[in-house]
Amino acid sequence: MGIQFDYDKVLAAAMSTGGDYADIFVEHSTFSDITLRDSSVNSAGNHIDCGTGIRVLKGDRTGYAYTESMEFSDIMRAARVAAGIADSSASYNPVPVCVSEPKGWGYYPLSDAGDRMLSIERKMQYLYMLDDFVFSSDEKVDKVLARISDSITEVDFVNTQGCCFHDVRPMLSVVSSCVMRKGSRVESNSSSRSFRAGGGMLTEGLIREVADECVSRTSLLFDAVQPKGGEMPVVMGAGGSGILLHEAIGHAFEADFNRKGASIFSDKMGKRICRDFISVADDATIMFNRGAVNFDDEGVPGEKTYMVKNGILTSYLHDRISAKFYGVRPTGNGRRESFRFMPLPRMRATYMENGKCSEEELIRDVKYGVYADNFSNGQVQIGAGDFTFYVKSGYLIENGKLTSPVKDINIIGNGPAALASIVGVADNLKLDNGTWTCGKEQQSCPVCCGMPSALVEKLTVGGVN
Amino acid sequence: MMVDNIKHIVDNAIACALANGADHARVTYSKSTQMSFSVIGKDPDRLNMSDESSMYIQLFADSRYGAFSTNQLEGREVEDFIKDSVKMTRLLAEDKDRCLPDTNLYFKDDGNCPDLCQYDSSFDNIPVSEKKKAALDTALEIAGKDSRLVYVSAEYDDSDYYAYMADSNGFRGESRQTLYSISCECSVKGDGDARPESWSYESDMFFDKLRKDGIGVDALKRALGKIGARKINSGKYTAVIESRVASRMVSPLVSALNGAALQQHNSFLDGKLGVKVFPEHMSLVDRPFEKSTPGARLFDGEGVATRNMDIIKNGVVNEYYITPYFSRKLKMPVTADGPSVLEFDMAGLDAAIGKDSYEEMMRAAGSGIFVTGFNGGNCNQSTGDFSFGVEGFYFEDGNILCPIKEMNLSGNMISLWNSLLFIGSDFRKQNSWHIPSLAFSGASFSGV
Repeated sequence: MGIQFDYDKVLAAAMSTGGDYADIFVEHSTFSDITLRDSSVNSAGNHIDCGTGIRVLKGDRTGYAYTESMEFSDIMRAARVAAGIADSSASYNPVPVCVSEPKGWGYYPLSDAGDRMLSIERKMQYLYMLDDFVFSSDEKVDKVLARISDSITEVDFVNTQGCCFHDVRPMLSVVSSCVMRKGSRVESNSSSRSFRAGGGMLTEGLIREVADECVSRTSLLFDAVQPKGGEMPVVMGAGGSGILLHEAIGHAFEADFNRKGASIFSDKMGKRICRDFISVADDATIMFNRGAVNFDDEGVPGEKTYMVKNGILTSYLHDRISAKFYGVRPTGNGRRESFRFMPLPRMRATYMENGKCSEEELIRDVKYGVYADNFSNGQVQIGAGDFTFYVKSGYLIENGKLTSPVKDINIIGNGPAALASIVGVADNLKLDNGTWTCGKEQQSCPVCCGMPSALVEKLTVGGVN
Repeated sequence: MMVDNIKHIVDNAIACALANGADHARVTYSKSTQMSFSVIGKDPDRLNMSDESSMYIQLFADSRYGAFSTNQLEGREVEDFIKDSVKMTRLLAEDKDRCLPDTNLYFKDDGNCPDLCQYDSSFDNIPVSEKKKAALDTALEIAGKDSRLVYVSAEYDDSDYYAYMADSNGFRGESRQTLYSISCECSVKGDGDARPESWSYESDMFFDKLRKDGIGVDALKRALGKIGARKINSGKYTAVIESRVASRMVSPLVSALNGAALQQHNSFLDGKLGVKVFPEHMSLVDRPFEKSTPGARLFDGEGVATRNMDIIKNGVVNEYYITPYFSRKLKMPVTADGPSVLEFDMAGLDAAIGKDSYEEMMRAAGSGIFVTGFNGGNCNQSTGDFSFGVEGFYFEDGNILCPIKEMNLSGNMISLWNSLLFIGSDFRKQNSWHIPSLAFSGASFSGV
């Protein structure tokens, strides 16, 4: 693709009122989805979205405007609007542009043209396969709803520091939900997989994995109950439990909240915040991972950033604004939903590294508590540090053993307290490749989370009293 | 872009779809202008402005259906996009239930339609300086005025949204709405490292009616009220839910009343039409013609004329939300694609149940938990089992005793609504849903 207009003129207009920095983000996105309902692939769609966003920084202030038009005059108008955040006048001297290339082939290379967007026939074939797998796995299955979506987003970026890059960002997702009926009882659950990859990632094996997980998760619910609620130990199962990190500490480490003094972790840099066997990273470099980025949305190369190393808070997650404020280099976390939004510090793939226990040892230490391994959504209050996540299903732990299945419980805790009360971490790190999407300031970004099994001494478990 | 030109583009898109093999098409063109300006403390932080347009194209070809969208609206490009979209639609499986609505159901502009009063014609004439001042004044209400204040941010937002929808069966409809809002977020120094935060918000469809003062003060008051919050003993308490968050209790009902969920047997209200599921004093109504309300509308997303609906009448499930597609699937009459302006019908409500405010509810209840915010949680749409994180205050003898946090409210939606104790009349008219403060007896809270 490449920027098709005179970007120097646009940057000059953006800097005309004395801005310190400006960038141009051009995006062209094609998104397709196809849905199976009642064992029939009977709806599909294709969506094109493109435009240009212009950002101007003046100190900590941001001016932002975008246009969907490809007309140069409209792009210039957006630049002049964004320039409105500054209020003096200045001339802009263009600097030579240096095109950045991703490391190697990048973290999500496409193998050929066929890998870019799947044919509709192929997607239909996989949806029917998924439907067959789910229905043939359990006679209680009543309904299946399944969807495959794939997209290609092409990004071109240039800024007043001469940084320039082009990136092709694929995304492939498979989501299946099923409804089961047993007598008069009805239960439903879902499963998903999502990768920053082209259609080549879609295989019979992947479809089987999604179908099996969807069936087993739903079937389990017929034996599950809402437990008695209250404070108790919680063993977070490997994988999706990474939502604990995302909500309990990840958002609080995003540097914009700390720059504003609004995070409960604002004064904790360099200090011990948890036990020394705990290290937490936010990683943009995992091949084909939903959170991978070759470059973030302000031209900084993706990297693996340790937020917590051996129990010490070592880094926030920075965009260019917060990095400048703290006098550190940006960590490649400046991300945005699309050209319609300015970048903010956002997570990528957030996970805890392995500990030394086994999961069995962690469970054995609990007299009465909950084991949680299937989650839907979470939320956090940055200042108070209070976070929650919703457990779709799990098990009670009684006298060191998993007993009755439990379901539909909200778990709530306080970030620093929860982190400090992680008393054991297993050696079974697993990334959850579901369709995790993080929301912040009305922007959604694809992310990933992961965790080895871990024992949290005390959290508040929602239940019936 | 002029409205006539938009109509011309939409008509051309429909003609193009039909010329390329579609049996029918519905096209919606939407266009919006937005601006936001925010301050942190006493300083400007962000200025954001945009104009955008897009076209949503629904195609019906050989009893097959596809939905497409693009924001690239130039002639040749749109034609190619539509041509490819028709081809793609024809590859799908047949679904004879997919077609445009019966034309008798359409909204028809006979010249006597009510004016919903949703558009402020002064939108383009409001000076940017006045908008910036609104944000700054809100922050200045509290910036530097309380030593416990750690952070304050205020934002002004406005938007002008226009949509024109047409289909190949002759439906034509348009709507235009303006919306203005001012919000404030702040955090304060709490116990230890905690920085309790809160927010306040005002909105209106008309700039001169937008309340512009007191928003910062309210946000600060709410944040200060959270200092020292703790969890209390688990148990059953009367729950009084503040109006500004009470729609959280109604949303699961709306999801369960939706035709898509019913058709998938994924609703705890499946098979309950005409059944008394809720208490006698609960009547939930949909009033789409409420003036100056964002959710009000003359027709739904398929052109079906809206009407007043008694969704739940004296505890009986009286109407589901059924689109033409799910009407054919479920063999039920078409109603609407979703709620417009939801309200509780207070007419004839016993004075023992209808209350003016949450304060009156707390006095009547004696003791309990006053919920002012939700923190995460979810509801199982199949069973109605739910678990929500909550914050608020514990009260006794009608008086607030202490702030609470890190607690969960759990149970089952049907059981909870059957313990409905009080319904308030303190809803915000500027919201799409007019949900007042609500109170439930014997609600299950988990804490210590």
